[in-house]
Amino acid sequence: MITGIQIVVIIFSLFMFYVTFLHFKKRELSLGEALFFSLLWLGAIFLTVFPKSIDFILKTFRIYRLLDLATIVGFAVLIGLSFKNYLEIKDLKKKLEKIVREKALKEIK
Amino acid sequence: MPKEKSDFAVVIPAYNEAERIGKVLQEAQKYASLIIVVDDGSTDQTAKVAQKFKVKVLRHQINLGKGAALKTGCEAAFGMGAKIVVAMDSDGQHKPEDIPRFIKTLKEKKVDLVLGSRNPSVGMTLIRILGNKIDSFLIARFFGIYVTDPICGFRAFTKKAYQKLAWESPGYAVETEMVAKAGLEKLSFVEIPIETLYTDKYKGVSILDAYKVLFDVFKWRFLK
Repeated sequence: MITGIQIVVIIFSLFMFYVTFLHFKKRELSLGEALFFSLLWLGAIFLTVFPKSIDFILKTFRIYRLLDLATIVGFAVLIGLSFKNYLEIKDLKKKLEKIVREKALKEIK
Repeated sequence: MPKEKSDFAVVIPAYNEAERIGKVLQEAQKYASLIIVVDDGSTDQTAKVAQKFKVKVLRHQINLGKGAALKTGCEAAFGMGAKIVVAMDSDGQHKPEDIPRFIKTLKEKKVDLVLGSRNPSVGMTLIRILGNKIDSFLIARFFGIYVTDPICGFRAFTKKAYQKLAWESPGYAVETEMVAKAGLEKLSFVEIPIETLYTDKYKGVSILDAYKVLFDVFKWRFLK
C-alpha cells in the first residue's frame, strides 16, 4: 500500500526533474550537471517505490527506516552546503571590498 | 584653518550623514588642513555636502562598513604623505576641537596610538556602558591590553601603527579589533578623556552589532 509520504516524494521528485530539465534547456546547467541531478530525482523515486532495495545498507548502519536515513543524509548535505556557502560568501565579500575600495581610491575628489 | 602643511590627516568615514557632516567639517577645518571624508555608499547627499568644504572626498559605490571606509581613508591619507591619522565620527558625536589634543599627546608621549575615552555618565545608556565594560574585560583577558572605552571611534595613530593594526573587520568591530591588535602587537598607547554628544540613539552600534563584536572578540582570540 502506498503511503502519503511516498506520494509526496514522487510528486516532488518529478517536479524537480522537470525544473532540472528547464534549467538544462536554458543552458544554465551543463549536460553533466543535468544528468547528475536527474539521477538524484530518479533515485529518490526508485527508493520511494522500492524501499526494501537498500535494506542491506540500513542493516549495516543499524538504521531502522529509510526515512531516518533520508533525514540523516538530508541534514549532512544541508550542513555541508551551509559550510560551503559560508566560505564562498566570505571570499566574495573580501573580493567585493577590494574592488570597491580600489575604485574609491582611484576616484578621489 | 591651519595654513601650513601638517603631517597629519583627519579621516572621517560617513554613511548617510548629509544632515550632520557639514557642521562637523566646518569645525574640523579649523584644526586640520587635510581632511578625508569617505562616503561609504550613502544613499543621501553626504558626498555632495562634504564636497562643499575643502576636504578630500572618496566614495564607496556600495556600503561596506565603517572598518572598510576607515581603511580606504587611511590609505588615502598615508598615500598623500600624512604620518598620522586622526579618525573621528561623522555624526557630530566627537568634538573637532579635541583634534589638536590627540596630535599633541601622540607626539609628546611618543606613543603609537592615542585612544579617546568617553565619560560614561554623559549620555551613555546603561546597555552601552555594560557592553563597553564587557568588551574591555574580554580584551584585557584575551589580548593583555586594558582600555576603558574600546569602541570609541575618536583615535589617532601613526603610519607605523596602522601597518601593524591591519584590521580586517569591515564593520563596527573595527574599533575593538584595533585595540585587540594593539595588544597583540604590543603597541604603546595612551587614553585621553573626550566629551561626546549623542545625537541619534538608533544610529551607530546597535545591540545586534554589539553581539557581533562580542562574537568577533572570541573569534580573533581562538580562531586566528
